Amino acid sequence: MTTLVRKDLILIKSSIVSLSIFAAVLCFLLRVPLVTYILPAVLLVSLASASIRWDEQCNWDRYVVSIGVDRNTIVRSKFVTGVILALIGTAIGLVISISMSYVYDSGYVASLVTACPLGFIIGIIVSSVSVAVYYVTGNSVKTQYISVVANIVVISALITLSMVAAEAFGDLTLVVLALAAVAAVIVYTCYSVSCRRFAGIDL
Amino acid sequence: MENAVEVRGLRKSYGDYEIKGLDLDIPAGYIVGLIGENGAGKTTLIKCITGANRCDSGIIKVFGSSDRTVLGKIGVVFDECCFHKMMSGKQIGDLMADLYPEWDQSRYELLMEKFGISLDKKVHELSRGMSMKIQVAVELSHGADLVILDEATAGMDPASRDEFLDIVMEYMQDDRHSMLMSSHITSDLERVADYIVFLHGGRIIMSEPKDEILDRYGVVKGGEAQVLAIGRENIASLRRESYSVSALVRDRHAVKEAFPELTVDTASLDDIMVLIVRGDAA
Repeated sequence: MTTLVRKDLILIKSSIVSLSIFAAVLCFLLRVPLVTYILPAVLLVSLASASIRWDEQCNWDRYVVSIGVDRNTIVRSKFVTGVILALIGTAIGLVISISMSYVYDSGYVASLVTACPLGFIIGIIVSSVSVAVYYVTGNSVKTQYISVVANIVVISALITLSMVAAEAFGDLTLVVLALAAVAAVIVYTCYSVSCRRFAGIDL
Repeated sequence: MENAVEVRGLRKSYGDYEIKGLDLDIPAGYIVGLIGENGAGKTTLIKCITGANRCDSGIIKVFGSSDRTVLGKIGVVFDECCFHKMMSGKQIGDLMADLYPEWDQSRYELLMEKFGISLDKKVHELSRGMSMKIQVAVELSHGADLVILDEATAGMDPASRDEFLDIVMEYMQDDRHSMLMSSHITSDLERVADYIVFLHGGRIIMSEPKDEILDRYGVVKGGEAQVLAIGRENIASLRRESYSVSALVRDRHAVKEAFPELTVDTASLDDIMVLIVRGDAA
């Protein structure tokens, strides 16, 4: 599986750089702390589903299945790539936040301890949902719409619930932990659905 | 004789297209050439053997096992290069070294050099034929005991194909190696294949040693009455053209002996394919 993840990272290396620059510019223009923590991770994880599209274009999956790579391993590699991208995005969000705190004010670093995991959690949710939508609906414009709508619905619901929970319990750390548990369930469900779907596809 | 691949009762349908209960053996140590018209089911059969396609029913065993998740035992070259366009020959080599337990980097580099491909070139900088050669170099560098080629030589010029066939023959020097080679360029198969399997409309209509096919089958041309005098039992297929009739005969030596006045030509694989696909089976 590490080879498959490595292949993805080699291919998306340059896109990671350009999307990071784009995210930094956007964050500096918007100047909204929450966006700064989340946006880089959300932008970067979009590359996980993009890599499935690139694989499809050159029939990479057909090749690796033919030489003996298990189909579940291929699906797992996409989820792992998503997690790695969410981590990179979170780190970039952290760097942008610290940079902005020097340029603007210290509001950006005040809640970094809770905000950074939030970026990572939302990143892996977006990645998992996008990958699962891709495996279920295939490569089409419809897929991209479904993916965007599904992510907006899931993220909006989670943020709303988190805000309500934060208000009720007054402890943000507890909310982030609950969110992490929900994310784990979402990732596992998306992974199972993707594996089941990919297992029956003719490549 | 031990088989590298055994296919029993394979069925696979896509809408109105169907492979109908197909049985096939690829004997270990031999090259099996797969021929047939477009849509005959060659690629579908290959995809079912490799596991890229799920078959509706049937049993497929590779080296006696139904489990096809043993990395490195099979090498596959499809009709298009499966490596990403942005990857260079070096990056592909590095990745394959990670992927295959018995990767031979020096052999890969040697083959790339033989094919005249710089390791620094990216796939998108190469022609179709050249990118196919990268795939061939990979598949012959990881110690595969079975190599499956699906129209692998389609984009290659005659000189490259000749070189490629030399490399195939060199690979087959090892008795453990077997090969399934699907190609529309039947002259390539006439040169290297040991057995020929002819797929037509999702069925195997011929599966015999190549030398026997080329020795036995023949083509008789002439007027309809003259050709039909051979007897339907001797004719495998009949094709009516504007001013003549061509018949594919099953045993050209017997026909020649029985009808010395007729000219019985040897039949190439191309002749056999054309007469069976475009003619009327007798």
